[in-house]
Amino acid sequence: MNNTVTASGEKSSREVRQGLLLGGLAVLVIVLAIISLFVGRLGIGGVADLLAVQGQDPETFRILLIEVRLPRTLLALTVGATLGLSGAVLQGLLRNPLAEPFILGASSSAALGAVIVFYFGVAGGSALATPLGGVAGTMVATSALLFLGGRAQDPLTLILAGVALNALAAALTSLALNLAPSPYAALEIVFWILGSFADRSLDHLVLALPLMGIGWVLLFSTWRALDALSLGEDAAASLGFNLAAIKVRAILGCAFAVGAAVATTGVISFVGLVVPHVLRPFIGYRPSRLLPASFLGGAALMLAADIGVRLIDTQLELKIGVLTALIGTPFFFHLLYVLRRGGR
Amino acid sequence: MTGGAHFEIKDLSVGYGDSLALDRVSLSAKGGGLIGLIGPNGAGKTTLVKAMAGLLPVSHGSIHLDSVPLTSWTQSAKAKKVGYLSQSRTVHWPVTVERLVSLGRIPHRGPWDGVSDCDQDAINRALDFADIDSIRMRAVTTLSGGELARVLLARVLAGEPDAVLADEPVSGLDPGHRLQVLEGLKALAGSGRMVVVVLHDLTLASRFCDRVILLHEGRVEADGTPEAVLVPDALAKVYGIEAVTVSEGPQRAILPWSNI
Repeated sequence: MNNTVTASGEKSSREVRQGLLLGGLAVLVIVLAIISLFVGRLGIGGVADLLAVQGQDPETFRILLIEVRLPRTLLALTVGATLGLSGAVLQGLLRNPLAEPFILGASSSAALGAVIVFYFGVAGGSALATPLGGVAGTMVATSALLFLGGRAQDPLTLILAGVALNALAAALTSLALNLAPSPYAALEIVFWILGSFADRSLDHLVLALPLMGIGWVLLFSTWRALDALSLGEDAAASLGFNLAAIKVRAILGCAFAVGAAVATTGVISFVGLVVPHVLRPFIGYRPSRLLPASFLGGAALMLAADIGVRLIDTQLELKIGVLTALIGTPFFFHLLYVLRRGGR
Repeated sequence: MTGGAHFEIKDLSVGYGDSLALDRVSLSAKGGGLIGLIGPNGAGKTTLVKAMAGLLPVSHGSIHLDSVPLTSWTQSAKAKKVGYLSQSRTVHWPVTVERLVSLGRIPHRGPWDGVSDCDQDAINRALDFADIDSIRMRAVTTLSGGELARVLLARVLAGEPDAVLADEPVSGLDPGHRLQVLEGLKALAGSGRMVVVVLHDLTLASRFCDRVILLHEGRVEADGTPEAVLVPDALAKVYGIEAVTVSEGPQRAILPWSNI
């Protein structure tokens, strides 16, 4: 009986801690989003400078805030949320702490989809063509991934499938780069490889957001099954989940969310790996609870990183995809090392 | 305790690729006594319990649960009715024992429901049954193999299903916990639930099961009381072994002694 009382006390304090974590992350996202609006590289360093511009030239202020800063801030927020959420869903679905859109080849395939659309000039026909190209690329990659390594017990088998998909996407993107008809076209293709929130307009956001929204709904809809999948696929199916339907929802969710995000901002790696991994201990390792936490955590990390690339003093602005790759790769090595020693 | 479940299996064949794991198996199973499923590796034991849990496509024949084809049951109704304990003991995240056991209540809870008092009572009963109340707040990845086996069984029992299909629930357990788990499962069966356990230990099958089904190469070789099924000729044919039977009154130990 005493055990039961102690356990229920521990449980309720754990629930409170998890609630505080989600609340804290939401506040952090709002604060970082506001800071992001007021940070820039082109002589506008802070709130005072920005307000001074407002007083002197309201039109410049409007253009700066609404057409330059706001899309960048909202894209960092939504793309970060997308990557954090899809990392958490993929890790839960595949029971693999190394799973995330970049490592599994979904991001590179989305970029390839966008590059193909661009290369063949389809994007000229409709503005939606590029994000839809990204969606198609991710859908092909995620389906192939589940086919190749979805039931593998060893986490590294799945990573190998991701390596193969990344290699294929890189080869075809390089081919497009190699055969690019002009330096301008080559530069556009490089954008998708490096990843950046710079020079994105509200139009980009308006095109990508509904697709990402569809992806979020589909990804969040898998939450309950992810807890049951902790026990493996047979046990989850015996608890009443239709795993085929769950996988389809995860594939489509990743395709819409990651495809639209990458087609808009290029490949931003490792966010989906780092965020769920860091947050997992704070939510009691429950895959379902990890989804909202990673959604908010991804948004916060991306906003912070995007503020970072604007503040780091380099001659040309550091691309955010380059920064996340530089930080994420050592983290990936660390996780590999821990996994090889039998940890999680 | 709840009512039982009645399985009626007719001419059941289940295949993997070109080979048949079960070949026209027919049997009937219901609550009231512990049913042991035994046979050598590859005999079709796991395939049979997975098919009864509705986890495998059937190549031929039929499975009826309470006179309704298993395929006509909704997934949630089937999940409430039938509890399945997999042979695999891999848990992928270091959740607490109590959280893992509470997963057994998923079929009884709506998508947005928390753990109700009724759920918590069922979880507590399952923790008591498996003798794991003292480790309820430990991470499952820190448990010994035997502790984990009991936790996974408790997860199935927390759902309070009418039918329990347990694939090797006592493998890896020490003798004390083997006896404890099988006594518990026998008590469950005695209370009216249908309990099928896959076993490798012939003495435990003889000691605890009210009925033993001996599978061999995907077919039912023998089906009846332990005394009728676990006889030297059948064991020699199915396992290729000579077994020594030691009897003292009603107690019987069957010891595999040598290969034939």
